[in-house]
Amino acid sequence: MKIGSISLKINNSINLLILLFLIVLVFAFDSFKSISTQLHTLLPKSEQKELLQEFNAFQSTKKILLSVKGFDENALNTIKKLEQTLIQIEALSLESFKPNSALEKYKKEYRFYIHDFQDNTIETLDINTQLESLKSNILNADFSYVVDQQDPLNLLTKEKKPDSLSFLNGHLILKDYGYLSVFNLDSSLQSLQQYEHIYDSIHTVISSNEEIKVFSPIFYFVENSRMIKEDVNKIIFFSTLVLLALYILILRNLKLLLNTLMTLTSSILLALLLTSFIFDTLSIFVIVFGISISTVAIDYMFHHYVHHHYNEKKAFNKEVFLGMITSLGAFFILSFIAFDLIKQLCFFAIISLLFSYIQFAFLYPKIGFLQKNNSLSTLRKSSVTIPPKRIIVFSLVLIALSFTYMKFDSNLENLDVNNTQLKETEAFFNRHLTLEKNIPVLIKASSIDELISHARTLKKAFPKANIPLSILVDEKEFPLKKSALKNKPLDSIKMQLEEKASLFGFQKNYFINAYTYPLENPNYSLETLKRLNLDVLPYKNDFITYAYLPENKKEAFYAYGFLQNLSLKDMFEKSLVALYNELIFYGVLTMAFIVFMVVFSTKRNYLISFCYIVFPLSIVLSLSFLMSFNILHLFMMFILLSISIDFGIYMAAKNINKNSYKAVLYSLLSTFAGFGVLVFSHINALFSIGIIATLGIVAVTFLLILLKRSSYDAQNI
Amino acid sequence: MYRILVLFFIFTLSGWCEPIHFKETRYINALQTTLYKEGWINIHEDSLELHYPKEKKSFLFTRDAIIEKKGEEEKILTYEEHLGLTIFSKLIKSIYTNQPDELKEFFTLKKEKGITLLIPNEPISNSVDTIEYKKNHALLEFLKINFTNEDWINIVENK
Repeated sequence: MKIGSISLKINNSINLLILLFLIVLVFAFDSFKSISTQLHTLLPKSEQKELLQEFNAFQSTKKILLSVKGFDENALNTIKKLEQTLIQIEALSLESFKPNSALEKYKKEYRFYIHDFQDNTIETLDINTQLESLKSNILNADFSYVVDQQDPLNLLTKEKKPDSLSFLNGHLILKDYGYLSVFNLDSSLQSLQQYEHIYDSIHTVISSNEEIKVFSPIFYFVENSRMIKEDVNKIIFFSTLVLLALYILILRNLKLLLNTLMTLTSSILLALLLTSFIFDTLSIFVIVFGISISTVAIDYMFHHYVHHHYNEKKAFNKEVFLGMITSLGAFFILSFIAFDLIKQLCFFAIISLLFSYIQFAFLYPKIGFLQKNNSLSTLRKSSVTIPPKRIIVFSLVLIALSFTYMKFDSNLENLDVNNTQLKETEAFFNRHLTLEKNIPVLIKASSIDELISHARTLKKAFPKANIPLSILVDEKEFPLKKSALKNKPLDSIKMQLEEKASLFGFQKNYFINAYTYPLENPNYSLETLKRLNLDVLPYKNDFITYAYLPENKKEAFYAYGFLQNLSLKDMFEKSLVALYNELIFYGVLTMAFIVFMVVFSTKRNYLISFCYIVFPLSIVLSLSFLMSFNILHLFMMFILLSISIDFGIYMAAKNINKNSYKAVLYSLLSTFAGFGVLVFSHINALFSIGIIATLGIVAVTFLLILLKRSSYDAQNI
Repeated sequence: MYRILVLFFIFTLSGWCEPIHFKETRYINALQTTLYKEGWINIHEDSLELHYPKEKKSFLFTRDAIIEKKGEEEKILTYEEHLGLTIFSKLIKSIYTNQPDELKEFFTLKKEKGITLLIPNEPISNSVDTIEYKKNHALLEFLKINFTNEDWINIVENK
């Protein structure tokens, strides 16, 4: 008697013990740390993805712009005070816009290699006129006239200064707006936590208003991530409410409710723990998706519960096992696709579903739950029913039609939060700084000299582009330029200049440094480039640097093989194209496995089972008449398929009864709690999941009411 | 029309202020020549005037721009593009209004034996080496600007 009582107590608390054990493990291994809200975590592993992360390490991507409206003394004092406060924040420093002395020295030394000669200036050169004009300028200057002693005759083209930066009262200004400050963020800052710290520190000092504007590209990371988290929390709250309502109104079994919640939480924690061991980072979408998939496991509990497996001694429930094994099998086959996002989702789903199934099928009958009657009756069959064959034909026609309309939106950025406020602030700064719409690219080469050569090639093709490294002369170009300089009559010009200068009153040897240039090839190392304040990073056996190229010339510049495209959209499309054969192969394999399992499980009733698969699929695909499909729509269709398989197998079972309908109805409600509620999300990614789930649920409900099923319908319950 | 009216008022009002007359010596290293000029300055609350009567040249430093007048010709210059004139106007104003702190954003200030030494920060240090001045009560004994190209300008107020 005592042993029986102890065993009952253990059974009752084993669920809680497992949950506590998993909580300890998840915190011990800090599994939550691996969750990332960054979109690039959706991309498969590739060199480009690594390069995108490398690009984020460049200093140029980490600037903070601050502007105070107005050009009066108040505005100047305000911005100066803000500067003083903000530089107290660790890792934040004020950009001085002081020219880098090492770079200035380099530019001066290699000026004749960097700049070209103006057209026909040598041929039409009149040294007397030039000297006369120079003398006049010196004598009539208001302050002091700076003579260009290297090129006093103005033979070279001049370096164009960026016209976007202006100063007033010794301070940087935004044209037509007010004073501007630019801050640098320490390049070591990489994590979201560090970005959040900076973001919060800045916003405690600056409460953004019409007069003060502040922007940084890192704000997108922080704000978007918070918006996603806020939305996800709301959805989880709403989902929990729906689930609670489901239990309180329908099941009315508190013990079962608590145990189910514990099982689901444990399954999510275990899945998170194990997938975080396999993958360095887990996309937040995988977590949200995974949590939703885990709630599908409630089906297993419902079927066992309504068929009295928890209050009576019953044989093994074959249908639930077959449904589970079919879903797991489908995820297992899909997990072979070499795309981290799919792999993460599949592993998460397999672990959570299997864990929940084991508990619902084997632990719960041991714990034992009394079945309580509820006041809600199951769905009534309509007096009009449709034979399965008609539903299948209709579905196949609709699927075929949908495919003719189907468009795929591969732009991952469309899945992200539409942070309009921050986008407006960014547009404001771009407008006032008259920045052209440029997009970042990475230049990759096997040596520093080759990297410089690529940068210069690009600069020649796109003169307006911002390519910092193109200021340098590369190893190959140097001898060519040197021989071109030797072929110009510079020595004779210099001799004449020195002779004539004395006649115009210039002091002796005043032009001694004119038209001289170094003959030695410049040597570059990472150290020297760092001194010149030029961003070059070693990457594996290569070197990389960045450039900003005009977006409207995208087609032209991507023709250069050494350029690495950093566009998420392009990367995603490329990876999908690369995976196309794999997706088709594993997709077909999964479908074949499902068909085999359905026929194997349902035998003569397989048409009913197929109805539950093709009809929801056709309804969901008909969305293509209204919108483009994105990657999450497609993933959700796979999930819907696995849920439909479960329903198909249950509803085509020989021993179907009122309880089977009840179980499917409960499952539908719980699926809505898991996935359907996402339809209320403001984030396109989550909405995409929600809309598919909701349509799927509607389709299955339709089948429950209208699908003709000879054996059960005859009972007319 | 509006600009003419503003100019008229400023120039008329300037008659009520006491002008500061000075002698300017400018050494040009390239030509090894020294130039001499005479002029006067008028300081107002919101503007500053600089006149070289013999050269028929004047500058009016307003809050937003510099108005250069040469004979009958008039030009509007921006502070951003005329760093030399900007610094000059700031120097004169802060020296005469006894507010040397106004110069801190451009210079590091040192004072030795009654002489104030200004060491320029970037980007002024590219063209200006040092600036020194001495004031005896209200009188500017000298203001010397040494340029990096070895030119210099010395301004002495007439007693």
